[in-house]
Amino acid sequence: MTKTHAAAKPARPKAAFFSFGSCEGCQLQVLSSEDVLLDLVAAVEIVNFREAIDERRDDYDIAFVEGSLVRPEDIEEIQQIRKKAQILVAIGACACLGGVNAIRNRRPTSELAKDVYGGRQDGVFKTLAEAAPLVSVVQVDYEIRGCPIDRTEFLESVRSLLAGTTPTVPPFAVCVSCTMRGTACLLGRGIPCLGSVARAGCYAVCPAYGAPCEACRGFHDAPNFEALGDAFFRHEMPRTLAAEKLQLFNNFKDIREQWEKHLPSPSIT
Amino acid sequence: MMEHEIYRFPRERLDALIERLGREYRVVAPVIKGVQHAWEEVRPGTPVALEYPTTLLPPRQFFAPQREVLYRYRKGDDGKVTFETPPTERPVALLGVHGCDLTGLRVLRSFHESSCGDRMVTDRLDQSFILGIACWVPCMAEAFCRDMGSLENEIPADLYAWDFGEVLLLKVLKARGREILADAAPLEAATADEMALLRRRMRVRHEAFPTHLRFPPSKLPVALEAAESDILWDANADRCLSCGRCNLVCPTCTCFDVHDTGSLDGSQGERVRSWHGCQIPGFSRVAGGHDFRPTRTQQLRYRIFRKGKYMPERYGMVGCTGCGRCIKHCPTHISIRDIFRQVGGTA
Repeated sequence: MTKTHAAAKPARPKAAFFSFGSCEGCQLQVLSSEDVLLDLVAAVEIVNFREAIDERRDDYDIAFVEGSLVRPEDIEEIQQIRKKAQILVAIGACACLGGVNAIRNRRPTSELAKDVYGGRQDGVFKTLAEAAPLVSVVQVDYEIRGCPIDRTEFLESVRSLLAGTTPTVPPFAVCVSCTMRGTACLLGRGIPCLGSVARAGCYAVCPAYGAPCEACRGFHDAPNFEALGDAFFRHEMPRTLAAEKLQLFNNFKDIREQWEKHLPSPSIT
Repeated sequence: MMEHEIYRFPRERLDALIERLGREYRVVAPVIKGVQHAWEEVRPGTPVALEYPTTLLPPRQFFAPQREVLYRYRKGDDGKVTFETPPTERPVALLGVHGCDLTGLRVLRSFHESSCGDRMVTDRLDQSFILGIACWVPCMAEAFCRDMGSLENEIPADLYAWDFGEVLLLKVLKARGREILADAAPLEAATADEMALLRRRMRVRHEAFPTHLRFPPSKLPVALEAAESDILWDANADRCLSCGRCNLVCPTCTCFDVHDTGSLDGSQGERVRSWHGCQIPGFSRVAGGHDFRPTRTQQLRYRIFRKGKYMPERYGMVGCTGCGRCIKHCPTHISIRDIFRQVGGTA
């Protein structure tokens, strides 16, 4: 995660946005921060942002990178970005965790391609054997997590970078935010929620509207997966269901390794 | 009980009481919110639930708020920085506070009157108005208020109610209570029949509350000390998700974090205090990344020791009110009641 401190910053640093395998929804979150967009472009000069501007310059100080690495050429591209940027910020579940792209990692690419494209596999782009988060290839200085990222958290991170302080990600569980909001526990009502192992920062918006947490921000600093399995079991849900649900955002091998040994194998892979 | 002033109060006058309080206070009471009850601001006409299972979040939220701006700063065009504290809000009136939560407010005061306390909290307590209410039956299976001695507690209420359906009997505990009551309804002493009924109900009430502990809470510090290296801490910590709900729902937790936020150009911002807790990851991490209480076992034991030993030793009151919230809301049902029971066995 956070590996270095922010490098000495120019008065109005240049920022660029890049995307790999993703829906670009995180960049949309940035663009939809209408009320502070003018403040943002006053504070940083945006030199590359495919979704927003025509300009393409590569003299950036800060690179915000969305998406997971899915094609062979992505490796070269992210290494180039790393070379040019003083600060590299991974944004969103795909860039930070591998995200939903990594669901495919457990099956051979040829088999998947057959499922998706049937007999017609000519012209299908080349893929890496595993969709991967940025950190598996380059050093990532900061992470802004979530699917999609939270606008407030993005702006708070930019503010921290500009002020020369370290942007922080909450080290605790979604349950903290959920409880503070006064939301009745979903897990306690037999709904398969992963909030108790998931990292907060999202203001627990999904459970507040009745949708169980899918751990799109990865795990907090002290997840207890065995206890999660127990909690599922106690509320009349199989432990395998916890494992199945964890695969949605946290299936990249390094992350999967954290929970896999504590839970029975999911029946759906 | 006879020496007390006890008035009869028709339930239909509740709105008049809320109206009267509303002139000075932000009136807060338990109301149904989704699948549970929560403390919400009420007005005349709001359906107030005086008979309710204890809320998820405790009343301390009105005295030591979840998120509180300590001050705001602003840098002027001349480069000068000015600071301002947020305006004080209206004092709060709480209606229908259970004995456990009344006790919670006493514990909150005992902490905030100590050297590490905060006058902002005691001021809010001083300025508040509190209507306590007697429980006839345990409001949930996890409650053990009788064991912890909070079932009978009426302090710091201004008025204390016994609910008899159409009529509430209200005991005056503070002059302020009488004053407010007199404004809301003509003062009418409880009848001899009503007093007889009250005495009869109170004589047998405890029978509805099962006992769980075999020792008085005053023995907790000794019992806990004897059990410090017991295997039970590991056994419970194995089940713990470190989700922190037990801290957040506790009526006597006081810990907080302070952080700064601001505008992108750094010209203005605020310093904010928000709830934190000893079971929440990151809590015991200090400068340089050192964690002085890194394991789940240490953290869980600390919470129980804080409630049962450190708080009575330092602030004079046991830190557990028996409200049962941390048991009910724990996703893996870790029970402070069971732990107290177990350590009592070893003492």
